[in-house]
Amino acid sequence: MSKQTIKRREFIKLTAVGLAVAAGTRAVTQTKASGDAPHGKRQWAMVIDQSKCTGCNYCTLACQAHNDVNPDIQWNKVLENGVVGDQQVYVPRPCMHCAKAPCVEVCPVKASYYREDGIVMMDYDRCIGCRYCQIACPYEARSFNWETFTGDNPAVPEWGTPEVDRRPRGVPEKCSFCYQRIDRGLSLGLTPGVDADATPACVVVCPTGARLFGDLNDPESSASTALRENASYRLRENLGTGPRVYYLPAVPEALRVEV
Amino acid sequence: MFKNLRIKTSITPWTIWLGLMGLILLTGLVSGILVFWKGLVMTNLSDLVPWGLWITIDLSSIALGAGAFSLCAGVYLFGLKRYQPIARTATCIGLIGYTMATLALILDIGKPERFWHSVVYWNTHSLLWEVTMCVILYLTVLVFETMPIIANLEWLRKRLPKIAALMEGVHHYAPFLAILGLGLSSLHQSSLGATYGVIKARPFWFKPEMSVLFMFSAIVGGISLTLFATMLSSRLTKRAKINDVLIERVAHFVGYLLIGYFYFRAWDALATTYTYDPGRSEGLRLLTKGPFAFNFWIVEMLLGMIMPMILLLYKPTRMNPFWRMLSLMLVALGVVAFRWDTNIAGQLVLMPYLPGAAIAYTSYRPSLIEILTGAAIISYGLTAFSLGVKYLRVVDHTLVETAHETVHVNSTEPVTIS
Amino acid sequence: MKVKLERLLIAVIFALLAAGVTLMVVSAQEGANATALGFTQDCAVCHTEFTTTWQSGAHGTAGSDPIFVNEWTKQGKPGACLVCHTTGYDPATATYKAEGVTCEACHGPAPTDHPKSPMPVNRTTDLCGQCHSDTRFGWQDWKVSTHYQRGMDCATCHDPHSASLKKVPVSGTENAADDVSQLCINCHQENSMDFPYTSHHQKGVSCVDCHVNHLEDGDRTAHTVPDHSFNANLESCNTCHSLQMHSPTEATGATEASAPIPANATAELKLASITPEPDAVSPVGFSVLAGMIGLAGGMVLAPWLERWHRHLSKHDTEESNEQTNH
Repeated sequence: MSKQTIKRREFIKLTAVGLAVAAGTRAVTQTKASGDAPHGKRQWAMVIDQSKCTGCNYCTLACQAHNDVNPDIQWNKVLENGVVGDQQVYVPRPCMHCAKAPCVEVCPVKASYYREDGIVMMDYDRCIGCRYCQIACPYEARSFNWETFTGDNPAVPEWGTPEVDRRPRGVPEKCSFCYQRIDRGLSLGLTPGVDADATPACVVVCPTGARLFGDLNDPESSASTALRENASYRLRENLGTGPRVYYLPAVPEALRVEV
Repeated sequence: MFKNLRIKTSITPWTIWLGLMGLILLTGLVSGILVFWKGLVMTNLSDLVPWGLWITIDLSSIALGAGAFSLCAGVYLFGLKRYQPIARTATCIGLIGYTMATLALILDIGKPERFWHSVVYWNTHSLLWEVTMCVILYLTVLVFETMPIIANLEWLRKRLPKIAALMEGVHHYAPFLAILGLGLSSLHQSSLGATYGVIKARPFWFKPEMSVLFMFSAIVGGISLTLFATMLSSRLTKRAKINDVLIERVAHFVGYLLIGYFYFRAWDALATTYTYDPGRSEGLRLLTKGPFAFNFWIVEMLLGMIMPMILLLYKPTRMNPFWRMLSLMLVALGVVAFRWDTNIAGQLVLMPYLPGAAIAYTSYRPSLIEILTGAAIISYGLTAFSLGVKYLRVVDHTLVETAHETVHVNSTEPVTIS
Repeated sequence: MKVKLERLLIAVIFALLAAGVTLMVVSAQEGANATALGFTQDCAVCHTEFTTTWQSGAHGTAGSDPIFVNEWTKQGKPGACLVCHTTGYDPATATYKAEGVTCEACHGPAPTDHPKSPMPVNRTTDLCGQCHSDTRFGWQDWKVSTHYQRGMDCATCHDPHSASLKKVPVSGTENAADDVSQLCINCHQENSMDFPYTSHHQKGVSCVDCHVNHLEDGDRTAHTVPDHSFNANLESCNTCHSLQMHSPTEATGATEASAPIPANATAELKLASITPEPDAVSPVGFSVLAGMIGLAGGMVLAPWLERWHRHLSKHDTEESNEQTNH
């Protein structure tokens, strides 16, 4: 046998072994549930009525308290966006929990993943801190923990008490639709969006009731009703990310009345 | 063993060079420890610009290490066996480049102790996952490809001759490794471009030609760096013996490649002037008239593509070693500038997510810690290459495989050599 | 000597191991659940953050406040007071569960599976109204106010645990504002835009002075609160302008204006530098470009410059030679 033939045979053997190894590792490695969009029975959504929002930031503070967030980080940011009549219009911006979330698509370790009910979750134990999700998010909804958050949280206990663990240094964090409250409420038979203990903290604390939360698959929920009866829009809809936070535009007639 | 070790303490250019590199490495080590201890808050990275100097070093190292797969593919898969010595050098540079990239990444990710997560937890939709997997696999391939080079180490040959022979024998599988290397490299070099290309949130990046540009720039930059390093070593030490004819031929090829790369880059960057495209036009403005203007027009375009293209395609300048070396170095620099421009400019343009809001801009300048650690990573690369030239005959065109020395000719008539 | 060092090392390793294991075991025990939950002492085992705010606040000191104890004792220790000033007061047996307004007073007894089940709390005005409903408290004022009509409750402005007003962070400062009016401005931001320019503000008048008939704690008689209807009425004006009604005098109670009230009294993050226009081309870039052009120019012109220099120096030496010759 000439050297050439041996080389070819060896080559084929090696290729076969290589492919087998690759296939084997693929089968063994566990992957988290679904790289596709969620399709559970319930699909949570938030509706924010800009006619009622006064920009008071109670939602930001309640969120910081209930989720033990570093005061330098805001999961829910309240931004100014134009004037209607002579009143400032505000846009509170939590995480959009997109149906086609760019952050879930790009995370190399699937630390960002969809939950059945549409919430985009973060596995802080899996995250390696590469910040690709921050690059990809069209809404700047993610904040990185550049340093460890030590010491007391100034929002506690005035605005609430922490319900989840503090995140360590080196991972990004974002609004979670207070999944801990939703899950606990559901297990006790409460209805998120109706019962305060099962609803995200920002929705509960809002003094003007500008924030609504509910199940899109339930036509009677406050969110579904609000969307059915009012015109609504979402942020950067042209990107096709499918955000779950809807805004009811500020309508001059419905605006908060002057004192 | 230690008693017998004699350390020469004479001041030669080599010891000065090592001393300087050692100093930079030490400073970088201290800075790196500081980063691991205090966290990434020590850098100037922010939520608006999360990827800065270290990621650029990572991208550039991977690009400039691409000479390995291109030249090995040429030698072992396209049958251009005479360039094998250059491919040897390229493989070594490839290994160094990829280890530099790994170092930069370990520094940059928020949880360095979890770097192994990408291998265990998969997200097949993620391009960064794909890049990480391919880089890890390709690093393994490079290690195997470098084994014959390391087997040259005198110390190894004396102490562990059997292992040295084993390592030398890996060369037998070179074609197989070359195919693996070509496949893996093509995957991750283009995916590195696609890492940016799929970000629909930032129109400056959101285009399919990102993969092509990154692949092209990697091939051009990698080959250029290999040639430049080869020529530079031969001028600095007698240990590095080169065959100038081989280098001139590959440099000629690089000249032609530059035409293609220039076409793609110019078209990609300047075709966006046809119409106003929110985000994209602002990014172009940053490149042409903003803080990246010098980087783009002079370093990337003029020095990185046009000047080397002319110098390498015009025979008199190509034959002149000074102009050839200068052109090759400028090409490599241009590729680095391209990666810096792409990475940073895309983040400096802040796309608004509120209705009717205007596009805003931010700025980024690396902090001292980032610069010191970056310099240390680069000096690690330079040191490793220098040590390779000195002890492993990394640049040695006299080391030619017997199989490649003779050329088989099939003839039907008797051949006479006059 | 060698043997002793080894022994020492082994001893140190053992010591570290023992210390480490002990530390792990001890810290694991700190999180043990309290058994009987019901009274303040038990709640504080987990909810340590409330001890400082609640204990020193009005609710926490409701049973021990010296002014209360004084009055109560003077009046013959009536049980009617204890209905509100203690938790779980039973009129039949004249006993109470705890002094002051404790956790159970508003939250009720803890559910057996707490913290799995949340502490129940009625977030409406009625809960606070259980004690704060006396006519002396101005209950009816609150009920006619727009705030109540729009669905707000006491907790919108008051922190029920510290029994004081909520503090909102003010932009530009580290701490939450001490001025009560900041809370009003936090929601009513439009009014804060123009108000700093009014003469009222120049004289140090703030929102609460007119709208809540603000009284210092010390000036108030027991069981009264400022007017929670938030309607500014003639009485508010009279506080300062009563003398001006019929004679041309100055308003009383005029003080210097306090620090101007920022319009947006909300927390601001340390924002990175965000600009509407991008940075200009760096001057360094221009200078490096000029340097390169100079380099190229110098290289091109070098032969002629050299020739010129040689010509000049030759000319000089010729001249000096001529001079020496003469």
